[in-house]
Amino acid sequence: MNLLKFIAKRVLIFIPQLFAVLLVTFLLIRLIPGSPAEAMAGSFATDEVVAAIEEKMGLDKSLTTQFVMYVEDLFHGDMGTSWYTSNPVTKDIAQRFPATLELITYSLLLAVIIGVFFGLATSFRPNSIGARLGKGYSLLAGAMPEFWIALLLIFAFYVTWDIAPAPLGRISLSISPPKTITGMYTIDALLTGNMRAFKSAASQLVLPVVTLGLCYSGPIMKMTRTIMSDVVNANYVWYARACGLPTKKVNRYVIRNGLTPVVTFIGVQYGYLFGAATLIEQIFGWGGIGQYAVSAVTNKDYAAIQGFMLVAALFCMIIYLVVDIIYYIIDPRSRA
Amino acid sequence: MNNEKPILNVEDLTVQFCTKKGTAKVLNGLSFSLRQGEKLGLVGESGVGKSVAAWACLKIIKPPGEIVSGKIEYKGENLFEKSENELISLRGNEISLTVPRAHSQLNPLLTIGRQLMNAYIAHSDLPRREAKKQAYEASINILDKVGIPDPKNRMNAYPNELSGGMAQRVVIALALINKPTVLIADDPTGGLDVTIQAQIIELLNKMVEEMGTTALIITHHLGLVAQHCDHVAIMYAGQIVESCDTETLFASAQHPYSKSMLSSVRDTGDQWGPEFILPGRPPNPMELPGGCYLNPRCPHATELCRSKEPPYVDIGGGHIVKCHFAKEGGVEYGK
Amino acid sequence: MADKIAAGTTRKKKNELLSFLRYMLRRPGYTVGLIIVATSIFLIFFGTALAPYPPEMSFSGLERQPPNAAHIFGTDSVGMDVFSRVLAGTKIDVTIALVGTFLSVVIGIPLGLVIGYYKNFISELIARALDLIQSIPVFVLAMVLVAVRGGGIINIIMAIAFVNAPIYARMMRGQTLEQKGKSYVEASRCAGNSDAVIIFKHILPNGLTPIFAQATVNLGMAIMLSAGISFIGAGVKSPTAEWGLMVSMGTNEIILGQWWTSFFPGVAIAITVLGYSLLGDALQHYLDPLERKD
Repeated sequence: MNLLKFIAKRVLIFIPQLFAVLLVTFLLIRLIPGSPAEAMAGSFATDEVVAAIEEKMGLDKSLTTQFVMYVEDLFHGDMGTSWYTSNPVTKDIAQRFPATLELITYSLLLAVIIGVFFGLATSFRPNSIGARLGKGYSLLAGAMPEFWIALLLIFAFYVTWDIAPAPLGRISLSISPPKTITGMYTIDALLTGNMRAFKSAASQLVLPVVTLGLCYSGPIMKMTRTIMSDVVNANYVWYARACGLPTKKVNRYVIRNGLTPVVTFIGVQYGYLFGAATLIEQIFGWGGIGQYAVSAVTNKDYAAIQGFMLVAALFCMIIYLVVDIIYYIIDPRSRA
Repeated sequence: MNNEKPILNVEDLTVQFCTKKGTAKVLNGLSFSLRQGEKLGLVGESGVGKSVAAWACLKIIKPPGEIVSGKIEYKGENLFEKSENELISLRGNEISLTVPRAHSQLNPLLTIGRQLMNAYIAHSDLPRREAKKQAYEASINILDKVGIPDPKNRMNAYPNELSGGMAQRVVIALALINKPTVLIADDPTGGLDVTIQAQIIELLNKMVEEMGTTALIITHHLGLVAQHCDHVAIMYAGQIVESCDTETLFASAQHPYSKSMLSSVRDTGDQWGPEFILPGRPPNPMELPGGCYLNPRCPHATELCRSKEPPYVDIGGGHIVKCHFAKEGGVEYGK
Repeated sequence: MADKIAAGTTRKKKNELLSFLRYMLRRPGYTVGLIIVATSIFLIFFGTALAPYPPEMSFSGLERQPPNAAHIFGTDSVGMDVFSRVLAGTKIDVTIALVGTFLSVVIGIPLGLVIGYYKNFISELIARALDLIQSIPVFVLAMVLVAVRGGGIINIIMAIAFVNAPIYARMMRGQTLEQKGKSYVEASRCAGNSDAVIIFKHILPNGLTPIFAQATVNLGMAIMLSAGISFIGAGVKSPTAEWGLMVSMGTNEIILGQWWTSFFPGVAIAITVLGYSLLGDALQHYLDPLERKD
């Protein structure tokens, strides 16, 4: 079938992309002036100490050798050892990844629901008060830093009104996490029927998810509105009216055709959420790979930084792959 | 004039587009009528408001356009007094429209079969399932009739998989699937290769004859009108400047603008030589000249033409000319 | 007609600027943006001087004071005056964003011109590499860069320049590819003009305006980015008066109910970003040929 052929082709493109990403993450850390070994050793270190660290990290070998070693290690699932946690980076990341994925997936869902709904609602009446409010909202949501909104929400809902749980991790300290299946607490709790854990995990999710959802719904709303305002006046929509299609049907044409390009944009936002999660995880003590990355950055833990960047890049590439496939399915024009 | 009641009667239709730059007067008292079974050609250069007129017959005016005055009667009932729901059940069912450049007029995300079926179901009173079944049959049937090979498979094709000519055929199928009383074909040859143009016109003609549809063919192509239309109305700056039956026009057009259009068609006979071609272009609808809209281009223009709008004069046998110099028997330019 | 306009870019720049200002002043939303941007530029130079207290000095015994007459935004956990720090912070945050964005435009434009104009294997490769870099979330990339190079203002500026340069390079490349095919460029080549003349006289001037508008929008994003980097502790270090860092320093106080340390610098970020977004929005609308501009 054509779809399978397309997927195969798209995955084939993915392979050189993957190598390019490996190369970029590798080079970024090596080629930047200032040796990481020096930075790691601190400003008072002697040359011998630096040299020793360089040797240990393999930095004394040629770049090509280093890259080959790096790729070889990666294929064995080895991203090096974090000197801060003294665990293999792969293990650290695998442990923390589900937490981040859970956070940003719910956030994306919320952002899409708010953004698409209000984007649609306001695009049919571009001059109404609602449309103006929506415009103002997306401007404001785009201007406020997510880490600040998180703090405001904590202040309001935890400190002042005390209706949200303390921003200390993914589940209340007094409740043991559900048995690990996917690593995502809400899902694991549901799968194991552990309602107590589910309730706690869900309530811990509320504030960070609302923070990210609010921030990221702004751009989605704006994008939806922009695309919809073009589609509303597209020739085929007018012609559908001329054919006497009922208003409901015409609106369905508008919505379906308008939302198709929004899919790509939502995919991009998913990737961006990955970046924003670092800030939010830090505030909520989330313990995902975002927080891991922040601690790696402050502790100059290069293997961990490299691992994080690789995972972030891979995550985005997989998202784009999926988006391309979805697009292939929903838009026949992409099949030409 | 024929006393038979017209099926579609457009009277004094005025449409303006209010934009930030000013008001564009696109239709300025347009009047024409279509009688049952007739084929009327509405002819004019591009930019004289032909498409706006076509869409107005369905009471669809794209914003920022507005109907300022006039009426459109279909079977004696004024469309402008009908509710939106009544209009919806009329559009595509009793009065249909085909549009040029069909590729951008078809929904790119739906198969042509789905779009045809939607158009059919929209005007069907049957319960949903039966309507669907009938719609499917009707769609295949109409695709076959408009000359699309292998219609059963083509139902699943998306618009982007069709050639320009095929897409135009699909648009014609969409317009005719509900067997409308009146078909308005807006520039059916627009954007097509010359060989395809001929095929499409042939098809349109065949379909109209077969179904006994009354047709309004809007074009800038006088040759097309000569072959297929019974009547012609020449349009300029949102008005009809001359209307008569086709033979009369080609034999003895009276209005300077009509003569100019005829002389630009090569094979309309020797009498319409290049000396009739008017200089200049149609006026900008935002800055229409006073008096007769043609006066800046007309070699015979006088003070009267610049100050006063000419009346419609029947110069005999239903041959109507909008010119100050028109009188019984023809146009005679005075001093 | 577009070709004519494009070929004759002899618009009077001064009049253009004036008419843009007039355009903004006629719309209340954009006027607000203009005022914010003007204020932020003013504060870059005079923010520290206007501050009632030295922004980086702790007053012992005056820690965690809520907003009051002497400290209208209160004081933070080490007794620094929040209002003074917010004013002085403009200098660092806005300067980083301005310089970083400027650098990214300066890097991006020539790169885009060259890889758009000369089509060969290497330029294709560079274009792909730019796509790839752009597919990595901006914040992740900037954070990693700063982590590797170390904090400090210069390094944040470099990181912002690096992560944003691909945007402008790609825009310029697209513009170049488009303009290259236009007939007036062909004509110019046939008339025997050199590549340099074609690039600088025809292609560059036409590509600049949309990039300029995009860069203005991105200024706000750059402010957020640099604040975010300092927020996670990878950027500037305490006691530098920087908004992101100030919000971060107040994180623990928030839990104690002392909201002011984080609140005010966050407001400063939000207002400033909003101002630059509005300016960019206005510029994009103003440059849109389909819109009226009087």
